[in-house]
Amino acid sequence: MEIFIAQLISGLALGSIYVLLVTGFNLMLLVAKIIQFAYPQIVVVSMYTCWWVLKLTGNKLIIILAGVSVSIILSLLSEPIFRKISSIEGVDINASFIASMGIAMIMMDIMSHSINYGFPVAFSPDWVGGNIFGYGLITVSKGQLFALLGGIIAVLIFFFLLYHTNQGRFFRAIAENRFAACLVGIPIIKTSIFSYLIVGILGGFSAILFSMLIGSASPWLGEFVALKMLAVSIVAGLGNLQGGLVCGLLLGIIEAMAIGYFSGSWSNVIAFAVMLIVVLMKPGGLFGIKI
Amino acid sequence: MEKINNILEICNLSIAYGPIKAVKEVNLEINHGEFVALIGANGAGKSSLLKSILGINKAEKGSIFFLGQDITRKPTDKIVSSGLSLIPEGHVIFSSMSVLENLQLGAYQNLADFEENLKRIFDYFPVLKDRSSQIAGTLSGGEQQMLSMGRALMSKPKLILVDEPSLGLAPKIVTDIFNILTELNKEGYAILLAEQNAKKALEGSHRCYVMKTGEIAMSGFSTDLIDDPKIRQAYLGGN
Repeated sequence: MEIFIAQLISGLALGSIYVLLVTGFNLMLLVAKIIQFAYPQIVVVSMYTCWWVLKLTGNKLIIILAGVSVSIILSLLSEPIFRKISSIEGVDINASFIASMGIAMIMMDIMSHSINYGFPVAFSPDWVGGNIFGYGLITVSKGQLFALLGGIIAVLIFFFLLYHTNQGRFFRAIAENRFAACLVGIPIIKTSIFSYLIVGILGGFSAILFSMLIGSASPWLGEFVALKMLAVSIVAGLGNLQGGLVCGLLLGIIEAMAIGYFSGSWSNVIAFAVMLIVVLMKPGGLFGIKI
Repeated sequence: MEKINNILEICNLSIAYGPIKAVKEVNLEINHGEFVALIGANGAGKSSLLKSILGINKAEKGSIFFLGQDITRKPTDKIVSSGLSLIPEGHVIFSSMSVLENLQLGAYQNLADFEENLKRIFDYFPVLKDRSSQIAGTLSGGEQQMLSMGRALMSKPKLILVDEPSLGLAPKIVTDIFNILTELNKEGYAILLAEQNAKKALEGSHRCYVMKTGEIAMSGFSTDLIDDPKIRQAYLGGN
């Protein structure tokens, strides 16, 4: 039972990172009409930024600002590229998939060639922090607590924005029916750019929480996580924001349970096997495709 | 300064989808308070023309003036906020949102008199008031068409473009919708109606343009056209 609770905590913490990634990915899919496979890579670049600023200064506020800024800048920089090939311009959405894979690959290669000799970077214990609660096998680390609380707060703010503000209503309108959104006079391009901004902010917070949770980052982390993000959003139903919340958390829990009860190295196999079964049974995703 | 009589003026407008020319050098004019019909067979280019007025289809050649302003290459949101509204064919609504939210989105370009506008729309379409919290996708076809119209009216447009409002609806509802259009026109709205149902369109409108394979084949007062033998033959089913 102690193992179960311990792994549940660790799974929820990891799951909340997946939730943030899937939420950003789905928002891009719904509003900007692109498959943003490079999003996790942007998060990793943002983690590297945090690591670098952490070495220069111990000021946590500066680290957070730097991480979030880099994520916002990268997200916004990709907007003009994607606008040319997004389905807004009548191009097949798959083109954006290829483009974002390319962008992700470039970022990965730059990190693996020029930062820290390509070795993974480790965050100082001061940033990661130790356990803040312990009872037998059950422990809660600072990173886990922050990931969980930060994830919940970010998702709450995001859904508040989506359902209780004008911008959020525009997001939903474009997601649901772009032609009708056009007709009522919603500025499509401006709203789309705003979605890149929101995703940039989400990405920055994901980077901070992720670095606190796992305490390291590597050039390959982005691609690895991108596959999971894509898998989760397909299993939940592409573009299904609520489904993404459930499935993101579930993936975290499944992985943590696999680590707790089997050998850790099998966790990915188990997670993807479960997702394969779900997709075989429900090809449209557990909660339905929304695009 | 020259007084502008027309609310909309289209000069030599051409629209092409790749190699296919959908609209060829069309000239069209609508005066303030006028109800103008645009009739023609399916595929004649009526919808393309309406969409290009709103900037959804880009014009290849020619220009469009609305209230004396050149709007040919303006983005759609700017055109909508200047007072143009399109009721598209086949009830285009936000089906997972509530009826009220649909109307709120329609009012986005004119938030100032929201409550007043909403009351006005509910007067035209009482059924929308009863169902204001219902999810739009669960409405019947006729109700969805009314919601689509109501949403377009929420921005208090000066000119309403209507694309095939009768498509796929029961005759009774079609009559209701034409009555509402006539009523709106009497209140001072200028209307451009694209319609395959030539009889209804000619009966309701002041003037009419006949479109054929992307060109204006004929135009004139509706009362004259309705008696024209060629029109009777081609669009009104013989004698």
